[in-house]
Amino acid sequence: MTKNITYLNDLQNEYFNLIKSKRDIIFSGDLSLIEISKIVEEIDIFWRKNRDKFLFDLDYFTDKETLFLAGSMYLDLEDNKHYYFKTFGQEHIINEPLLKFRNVLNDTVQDSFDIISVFKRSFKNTLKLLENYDSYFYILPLDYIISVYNEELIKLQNKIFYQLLASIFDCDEMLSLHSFIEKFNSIEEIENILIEKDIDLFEFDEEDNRLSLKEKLDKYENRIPFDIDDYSTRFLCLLL
Amino acid sequence: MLGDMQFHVYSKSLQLLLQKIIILIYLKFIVMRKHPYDKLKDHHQPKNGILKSPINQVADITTYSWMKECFPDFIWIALIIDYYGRRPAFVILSFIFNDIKNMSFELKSLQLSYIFSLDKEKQEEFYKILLKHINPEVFNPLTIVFNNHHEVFFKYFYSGGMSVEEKLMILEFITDNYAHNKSDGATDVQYVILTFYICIRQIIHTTNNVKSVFEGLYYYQKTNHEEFEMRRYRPTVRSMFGSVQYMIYKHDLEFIKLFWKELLEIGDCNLKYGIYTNEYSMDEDFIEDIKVEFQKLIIDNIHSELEDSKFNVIMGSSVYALKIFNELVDCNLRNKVMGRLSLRIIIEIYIMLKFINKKEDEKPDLWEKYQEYGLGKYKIILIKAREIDEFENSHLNTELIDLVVNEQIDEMFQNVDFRYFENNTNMRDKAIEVNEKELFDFYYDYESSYAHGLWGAIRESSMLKCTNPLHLGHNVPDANLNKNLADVLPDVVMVFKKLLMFINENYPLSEEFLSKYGVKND
Repeated sequence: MTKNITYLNDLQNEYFNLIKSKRDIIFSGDLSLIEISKIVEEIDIFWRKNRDKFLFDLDYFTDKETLFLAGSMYLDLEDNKHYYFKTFGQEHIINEPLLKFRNVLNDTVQDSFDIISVFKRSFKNTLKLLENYDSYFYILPLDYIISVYNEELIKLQNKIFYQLLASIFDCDEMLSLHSFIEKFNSIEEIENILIEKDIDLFEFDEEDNRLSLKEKLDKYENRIPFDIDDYSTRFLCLLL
Repeated sequence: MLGDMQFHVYSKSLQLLLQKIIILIYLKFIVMRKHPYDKLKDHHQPKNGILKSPINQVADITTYSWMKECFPDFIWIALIIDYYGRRPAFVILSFIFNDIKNMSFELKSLQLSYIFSLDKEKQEEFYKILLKHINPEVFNPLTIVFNNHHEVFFKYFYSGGMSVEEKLMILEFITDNYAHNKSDGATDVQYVILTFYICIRQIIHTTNNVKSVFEGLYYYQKTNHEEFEMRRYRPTVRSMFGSVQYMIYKHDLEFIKLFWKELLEIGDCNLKYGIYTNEYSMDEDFIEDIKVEFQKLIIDNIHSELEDSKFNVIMGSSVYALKIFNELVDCNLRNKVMGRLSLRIIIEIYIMLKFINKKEDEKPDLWEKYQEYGLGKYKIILIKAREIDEFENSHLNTELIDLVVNEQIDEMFQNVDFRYFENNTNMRDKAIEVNEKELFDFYYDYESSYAHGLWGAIRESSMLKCTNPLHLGHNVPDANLNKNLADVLPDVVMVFKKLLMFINENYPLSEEFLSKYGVKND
């Protein structure tokens, strides 16, 4: 059966209306990082509320040659870069350009470059895209789709990870956390193998090379979002 | 004196130890049974179409859900307790309550819905008190729910640096730990609410045992949940809150709806379902061997009388049951809805045959009557169908049905007699009559839900459970048909063996077959 778009076109309109409503704030002259953060959060919530709809319509692309523009911050319409992109393939999806700013709004990155002007430019571009080229491109939160819903990708990542572990520890294919924990009775056993193979792990600052593996796992346990008593499990989680 | 004191201490320790043992035994007993009155004998006979639960037999009780209807209003207290830890949070909240006493207006309630209904100045006054004692990021997670329409709250408590996902994770954790009514977290929140109404609003609750109540409230905040004494203090807080809450709590349905609706939309469903794997394996020759036995019976008996209704009904019905059994295995329906229906049909055939067999002495032509009854049901379909005559592309072939109905006797001379098989007795009565009540009560009745598409069956087979705490345990229809059901084959084999035993009583099967498959009378 030919797959049709059911929700995406209306979603693009609603998205356009949402960011259009923020135009005055963005170009007001006293735009702050907090305001950007609020707008990005509102956009995030918009996509989350409509995820069932755009996921439903992803089927539409399965039998069409579809190109994704991902990675870069925005499709530079002023330089007519959109023509290159539009030349190939039947359908074109652009990774949601404004959601990328949710990750740059933390203290460590703030001083790196002028986020506000980059955000303004990206915003302006996105608005123009939706105003003038809405029939050529679909804007979708691809990162969100892949990270939340691509179970095959996650399973594959896990498989590769455990195969890598198996090769480091010279054992038959390790398929799971459970088989890894069963294999080693103590963290010292794991450490001995790493020393034998001259593999240094978890060295985030200069002092770390003087610490034992156990001490490093204690030092960096707060990088794991939940408490884990078992050192072998903690080792794997930190590695992941 | 010291000796006396030592004896007194020893005996009090022993007393406490005995108390602990008794309570542990009692609790273990309670844990073994979900409810104290959970058997059929605890429920009286249905009256006016209602089978009342034991509690509702005493009085019709209106239930409310702490999680669904109260928790949203007090989630902010849970956030404070979780952020700072229990005992520091109680201290902080006591400072907050102290400042509330000096506000320019009387704060009547701790409910968020009430606070949001206050005018801007009053809200700001309250939020400033909160911010004097707590970090604004404590309430940051709530800004994904309370944003555009709650500008004042949003202005005071939104801070960047926390993603929507992080906020959702915090709200999920809080809901999981503080929203379930009997949880320690929920009791902590209820304790804070009680304290507000006792100390700030000064609503005094009278009780026959005031000392133990105040002891419970006083020591509750100083005692950790893991400590033994909390088993006394927690029920005190819960029961006191339960008795007072109808006085102090005003449900704001709009607020509650908004809260859960936002979280339902923003948070991802976490759909869970198990997949049954089949451990039971049936002898692969079983069905083929049954076919052979049936063929032998047919050869031995088909020519004994021109028209042996008893034999035809027993063997015809058994072959029908065998067809269903075969389709169950062949078409891999063991874990499917149709498998459930298969079991129900085989049970019905078995009970019906046993019933007619039992009544045979009273009414020797009952086997014939059964055939007439069945054909009569077909006749009804036929005469109705003739009035409509619109079955061009349907499996309902009126010509075929006409042939079947008129095969032996012209339909003009056929009555449709409901007396023996419908009017005077239903399937349950028949099952009781043939000592198969359990088969009916459990297996047949259970599968009847599947046959009729009742909600229990639909919930079990076609709905997926969402385990996201923010989604209140809702269920989502399984549109991708992922779920399967427990294997029905062991039970089908069990019932079919009963059917074989019944056949054997009337038309002996071979000893070899009977011993190979363990088919024997009880």
